[in-house]
Amino acid sequence: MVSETFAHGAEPRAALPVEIQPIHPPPASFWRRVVFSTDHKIIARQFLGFGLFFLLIGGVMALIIRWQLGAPGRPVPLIGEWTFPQNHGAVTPTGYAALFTMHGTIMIFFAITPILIGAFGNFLIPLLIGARDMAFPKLNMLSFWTQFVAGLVLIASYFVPLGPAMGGWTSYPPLSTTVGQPGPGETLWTLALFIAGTSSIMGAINYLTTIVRYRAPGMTYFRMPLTVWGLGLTAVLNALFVPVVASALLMLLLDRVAGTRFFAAGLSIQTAGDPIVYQHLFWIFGHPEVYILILPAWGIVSDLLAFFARKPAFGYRRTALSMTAITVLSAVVWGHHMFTVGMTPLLAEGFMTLTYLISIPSAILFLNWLMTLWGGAIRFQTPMLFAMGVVFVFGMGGLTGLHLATLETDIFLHDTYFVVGHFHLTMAAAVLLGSFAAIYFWYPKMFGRRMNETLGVIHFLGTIVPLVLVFGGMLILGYGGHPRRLYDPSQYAYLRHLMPLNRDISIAAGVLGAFQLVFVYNFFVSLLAGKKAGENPWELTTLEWTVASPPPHHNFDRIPLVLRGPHVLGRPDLTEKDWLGQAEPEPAAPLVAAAKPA
Amino acid sequence: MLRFGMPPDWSLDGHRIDALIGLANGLVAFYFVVVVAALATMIVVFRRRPGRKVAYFDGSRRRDVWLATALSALVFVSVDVNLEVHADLDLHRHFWNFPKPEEALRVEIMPQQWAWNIRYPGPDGKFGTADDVVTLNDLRFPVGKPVLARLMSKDVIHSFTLPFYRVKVDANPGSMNEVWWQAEKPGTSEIACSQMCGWAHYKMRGTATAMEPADFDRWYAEAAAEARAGYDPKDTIAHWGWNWSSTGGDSSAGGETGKGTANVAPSPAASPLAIVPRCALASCRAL
Ligand code: HEM
Ligand SMILES: [Cu+2]
Ligand SMILES: [Cu+2]
Repeated sequence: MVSETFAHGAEPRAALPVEIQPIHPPPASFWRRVVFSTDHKIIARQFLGFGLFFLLIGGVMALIIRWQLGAPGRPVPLIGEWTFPQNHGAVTPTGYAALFTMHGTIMIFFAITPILIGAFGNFLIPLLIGARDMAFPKLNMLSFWTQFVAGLVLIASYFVPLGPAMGGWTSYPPLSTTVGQPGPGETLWTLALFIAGTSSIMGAINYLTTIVRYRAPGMTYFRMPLTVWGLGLTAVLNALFVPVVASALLMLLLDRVAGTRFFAAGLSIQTAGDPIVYQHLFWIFGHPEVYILILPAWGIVSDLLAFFARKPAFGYRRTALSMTAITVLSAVVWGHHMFTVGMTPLLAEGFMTLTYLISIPSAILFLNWLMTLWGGAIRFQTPMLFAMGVVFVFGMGGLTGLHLATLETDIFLHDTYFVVGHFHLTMAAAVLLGSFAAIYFWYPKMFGRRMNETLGVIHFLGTIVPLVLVFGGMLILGYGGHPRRLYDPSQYAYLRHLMPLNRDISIAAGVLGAFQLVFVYNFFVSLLAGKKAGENPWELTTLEWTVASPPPHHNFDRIPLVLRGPHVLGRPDLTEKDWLGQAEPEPAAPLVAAAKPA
Repeated sequence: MLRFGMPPDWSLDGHRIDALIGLANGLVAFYFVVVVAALATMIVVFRRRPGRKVAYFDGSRRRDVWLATALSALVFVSVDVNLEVHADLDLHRHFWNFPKPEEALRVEIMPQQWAWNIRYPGPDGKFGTADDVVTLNDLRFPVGKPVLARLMSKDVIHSFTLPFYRVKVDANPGSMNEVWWQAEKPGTSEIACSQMCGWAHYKMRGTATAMEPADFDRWYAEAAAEARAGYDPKDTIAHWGWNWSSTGGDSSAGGETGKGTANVAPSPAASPLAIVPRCALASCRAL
């Protein structure tokens, strides 16, 4: 090991990552290798499988919700008789409440979080910074299995008397106390989220420690791929704010099972708890949560745009710092979710102003993304298509946030489908497209084979078009004053003319769902029959592309010495190939110099 | 008629919200078109072609820093400052500029799962008396006179919404909110609940009827007479309500003080801390 250090000629300080990461042989037993593995790459696959499974469930739930809104009271095709036997196969009002509650919960905490943060955070952080594993491999394993238990508890909540949670993913008390939901379903929901939160905190501690301590020699913070920046900032937010929601969930749990009355109030219950406190605690976490989901996607998109335009990212530092600024700001804007709760005017104006400030770093991000493409030689491969899709839908979603940040206009738009459209564009559509970009991009590294490009392009087109129609349509619904979470909107006379639009949105959602089958097919068939990927199928610079696909158990035979940032692409003096790896010595030039007789 | 527009606006100040939404639409559309046009241009112009050399720059030149600074400043001033100034002016001059209670029609609204309990003070102008007019899901008010409503929920959180008057405010259990609006033309529209409040949330519908003042007065007098006739002092369940005395409106009977802070947009006449639910915990027990 000592010689390994000297081989780099690195500083003694930089030797740390080498010293603390001896090469362990891969475990021999099946259980330790595949199930209770501490290898970040295996854990990443476990998270990916877990997340995709729940994405499927959450997606089917979304389709049933849309079925009910498109054709209220009609039996759900295929599964209706099984899921709603008491109502001739049609969604019931309680079933509807359970559906959107579980859809939101599952998508956020059990699909997107495991895919983007659990799977890609795990897979990428060590590989991209040149480490052999996470700082705490056992904690990493525990993090996955904790999340797994949370998933089981959540699923179990569907099979208890009175059914699962029905208070929305926000689960506001008193509706979420026993006053509103006496059954055990809501208790299990609270418990599941609490457990999932524990898993997120474990992951966050691991990611942060790894990034701070395990960067390869020469991998300064400003040489890290922007993907790592995004994942790292997400870990900061998770570590700081999941505990806040955990405290709220714990109090809610005590209210439900121990007879405390933290959040219960009102004439019907005769106690003086304060339900508004829950809302504050929830949104202190809840607003950062949307950035928890989007920051990894931003990082990935920032890298992919540069990689596939074959030129450096424009304003790398400003991108990293803007993401950091947004991370900081995200901690102080939660009140914009509570404008109709009845805040004092000064407080509400304060939250409005702070929310507006996010425009500044966001504008810089968009400028950087677009300018990264300027002057490039863009390769329109599937990951790039999805990355550009993120820019598009996030543009739509981010801009519509202005209507909601503005106190006055939010009076009309709050809790309408405008909000549902807005947050799906940002946190569902953008994050989903970002996840797909990541899957198409790193699939070869993860599984050693490539996914089919043609099917990828079909999947992209079949996703982006209906996605924009679905969530754009929701913006229009909200503009018409359509409240969210309505089992049957046609109860209101002023919404009846919107029912055809509701139907059209549902059709688009069905198309969206159908095209996901292309992805499922491509994913599984490529596992077995995809083209062999080789080390570096995209011809890129970052460290993960210097090792085999899939990487060996210990990732790097020798910990690389990093010489430059992640985006040396298209440098004019490069002739043989248009890129220079992060740890690759300068080509020809020194040789030429040496050859010249002095 | 536009199929997909906002619902009609029948209120005095709702057009301000509509105008600001219009402004936001314009600004958002402008910047969206800019982004999409830029994206489209890049896709067409800078796609890979044989022999194409990329422009190797990383945006760290001084003029790139200026570009980023100037652009973000432009966005911030043209969009955010613009919207904020409009919103603040409207809110302070109009939406938060509450009418004096004696000039307004006062109502108490206590939603419950899944209905709107509505109480008027009756001709004597005092809440908690025999002539209080109490309705269920039937809110009526005269055209041309401000309506000043106080809201507190009986059970879970509801959100009182009048789409045609651009009104939306939560009704929380345990704390009181205040809101006002004024009808500009007669007509019947709907009360909606905007906050998920249980499985029948979607059915929590009421009617909101703006009436010509003379029609309203006639209805109000009749309803008060009926209320007086049916008044039962022992029926405590019927006597919910709140103390308005802090605003000089009336001094209600009982004199209990209750728990619960009020976080409301305060009217100039009322300090929000002085608003106290009439129903103290002890007396609530009857409910
Ligand atoms: C891509 C297809 C999707 C469709 C068609 C869809 C559809 C819907 C619909 C119709 C609702 C509203 C239900 C209602 O208000 O009555 C809803 C709610 C929600 N969705 Fe999605 N969704 C999709 C994906 C996602 C994803 C990927 C996420 C997460 C990142 C997500 C997060 C949520 C959340 C948090 C709610 C709110 C639940 C609540 O009101 O408590 N959705 N979705
Ligand atoms: Cu927020
Ligand atoms: Cu309600």
